[in-house]
Amino acid sequence: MAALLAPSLARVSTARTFTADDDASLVALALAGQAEAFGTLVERYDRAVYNLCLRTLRDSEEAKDAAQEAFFKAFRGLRTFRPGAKFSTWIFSIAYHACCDRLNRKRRFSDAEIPDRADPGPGPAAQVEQLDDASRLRAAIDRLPEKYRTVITMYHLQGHQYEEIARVLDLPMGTVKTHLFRAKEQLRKLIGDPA
Amino acid sequence: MEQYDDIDRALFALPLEAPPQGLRDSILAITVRAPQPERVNAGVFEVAGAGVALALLAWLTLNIVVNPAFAAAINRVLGMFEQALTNPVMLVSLALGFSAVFIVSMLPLEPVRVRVRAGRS
Repeated sequence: MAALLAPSLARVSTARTFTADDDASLVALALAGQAEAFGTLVERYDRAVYNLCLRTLRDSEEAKDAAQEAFFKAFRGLRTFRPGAKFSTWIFSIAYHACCDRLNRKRRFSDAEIPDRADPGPGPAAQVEQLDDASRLRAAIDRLPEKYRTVITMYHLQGHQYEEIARVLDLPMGTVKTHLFRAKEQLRKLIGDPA
Repeated sequence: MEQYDDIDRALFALPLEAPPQGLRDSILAITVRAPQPERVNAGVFEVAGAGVALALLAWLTLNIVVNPAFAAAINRVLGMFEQALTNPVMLVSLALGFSAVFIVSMLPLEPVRVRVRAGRS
């Protein structure tokens, strides 16, 4: 009987299922040599990280590269992850900085000022009206300045709290709230909301 | 309590965009599935030996720093070695010994196979 059970028990003991609820356990497992645990973290956050990069960079190819870079840096620097910190804050922070580096390189390359006000764009009204509501809103977000796009993405689209956004962006919480307020004001103007 | 207006509600309802095909695979390929650098596998004896050597070194250093009598004893032992190594008779003896070892190691000596005959009954 024991001989019959042995192979199945061995399969169970070697099967790697990472169903840990908290990210900290997955980080600990990855640090203990079970690299596949990091794969579970990738599954949890790749979409959110990609969206943050996409909204910040406004370019899907650049966003894809930035998301890859963020996860690569996180994997290589997993030992520097502070126990007790939130993995989501950490990975978003790495991704945001990767995006900032890319934007800075672009700015240096193009030598152009990034406007602090929303980009009016060429004939927006005619274009935007043809799109459905979600696409209109996304198009409007894309026309906001970078700092506003990022806070809107993190607060509204990803549901982060002010405190976490402030930590990721390395900004005071008051500044995050101000950015959100101004971002919404500009969005209203862009989509022609009278509220 | 947060007050949400229409723009907030519209933004909250906006779904995240799907990442491009293959993003997850490409991330996994450069992280989890990337070949890991080979680890140096030290045996138990090597690790234990290195540990003992380090412990001995630490013990010696501590004693030399803390205990002047110990330092003096070490100095005496080192002095004896120095005296021995500066003694011409000792140096000649050492040279002869090493030469003998070297010469013997260079001799083409083959192990001799001894045939064991089965005893006749």
